[in-house]
Amino acid sequence: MTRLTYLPGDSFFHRMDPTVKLAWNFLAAALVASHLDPLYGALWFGYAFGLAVCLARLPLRRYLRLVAVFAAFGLSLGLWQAVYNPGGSPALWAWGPVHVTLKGLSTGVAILFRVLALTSLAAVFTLTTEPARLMESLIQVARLPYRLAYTVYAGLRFMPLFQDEAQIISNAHQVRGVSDADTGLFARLRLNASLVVPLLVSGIRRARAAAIAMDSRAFGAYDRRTVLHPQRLRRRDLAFLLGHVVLAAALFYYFVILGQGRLFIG
Amino acid sequence: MTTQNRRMFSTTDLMLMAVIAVVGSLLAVFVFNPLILVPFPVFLFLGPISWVGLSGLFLITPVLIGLLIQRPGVATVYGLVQGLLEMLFGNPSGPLSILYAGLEGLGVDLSLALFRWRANLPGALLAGAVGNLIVIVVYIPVFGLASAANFIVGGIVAVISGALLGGLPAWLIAQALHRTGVTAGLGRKPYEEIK
Repeated sequence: MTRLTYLPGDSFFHRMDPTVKLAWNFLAAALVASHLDPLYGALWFGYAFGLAVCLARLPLRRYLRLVAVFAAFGLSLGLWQAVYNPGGSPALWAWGPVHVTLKGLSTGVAILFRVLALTSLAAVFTLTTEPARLMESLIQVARLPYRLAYTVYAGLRFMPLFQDEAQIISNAHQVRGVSDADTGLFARLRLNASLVVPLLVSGIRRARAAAIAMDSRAFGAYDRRTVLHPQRLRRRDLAFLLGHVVLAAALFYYFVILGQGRLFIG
Repeated sequence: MTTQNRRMFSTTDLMLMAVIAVVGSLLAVFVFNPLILVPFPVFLFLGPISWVGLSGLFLITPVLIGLLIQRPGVATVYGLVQGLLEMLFGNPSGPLSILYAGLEGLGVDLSLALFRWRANLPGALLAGAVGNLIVIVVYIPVFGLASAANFIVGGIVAVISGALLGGLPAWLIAQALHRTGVTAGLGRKPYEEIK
């Protein structure tokens, strides 16, 4: 399975401050969603692809595998849309109540490219952002309260413990005669569902113990903390973000103020 | 601990959020996301928004945390934490998952506020319904599926799905946890047990 998690590297995007990168990603996603058109969507997908390969230096094979997974989702959305909302134009193909029109197909292709562009932008962010550095940046640059950021840190620390705990509970179930031999989807779901409450019980106990340990070390006693790795905003990061702000303003003027945008299918 | 008293959440609350957020993120990324893409025949009438049918599953953990901690804003803050974790665990929505999870939490908080954050079944059902409705109303235009029909049908299905697949399981899990005694000392008000 192709995982969408951090890949170490030394590209422009790897070095970019994560808060700036986050702001850029939200802005770019808003721009992608601001107009529904096949060419517009294709241009954004091409742009995101270019960034992924040139500025983020993501391994092409891994990137394409990720995009292929989500292309299936985009394709299904696009096909459904083409069939369900054919629009008023003459049918290119008809079979019973199903009518495929040029307008419906155009909308379907636009949706496919929109999904691909959004997924590519997400991949550029997630594959180039180290979780610890993201949290450091959110605390220092975005001024996120550090107690909240540490909650996310704690979550990352809890994850491997949960995997061990799930295995222990699963073993205990097997000792009591619950078998995992049945590999059917519903049998698997039933088996996993039986893990939820015991896992949460042990998780809550662990959370209480962690909280006592943290409080006893005066966690949260001060509003600010000293930092080990100071995060600084670089001019090139800000320039990259500023370029997108200018682009956003221009596209907002064209699509919203001048009314050229097509957000809704109607 | 000079500033402890004016804080909204204790360290225990925050660690509890972390624990539930890990479960919620793993479920969202590795179970619910692939599951809602399966074109279940029962939801085929929804066409391009057939994924709304199972979307209520995402509301289980935000409602659960609201029922456990019972404080204003807990589900919204939890949503932001879960969104960040989902993004780091590989949610294909990337940073947008922070927005979606935050909105889910906001919907849950608004609903629980009507019940003064008391943990009861109607509150849990409403929280699941409203949380899901808010996020679906945002999701539909982002995927380019905005139309009056999609908003109306999708909205109705989102409310039902959120209540039955999100609010109800969260309530049942909260009850199961309560019976084990592990929730003693959490939250502010006693649980109203199902008779």
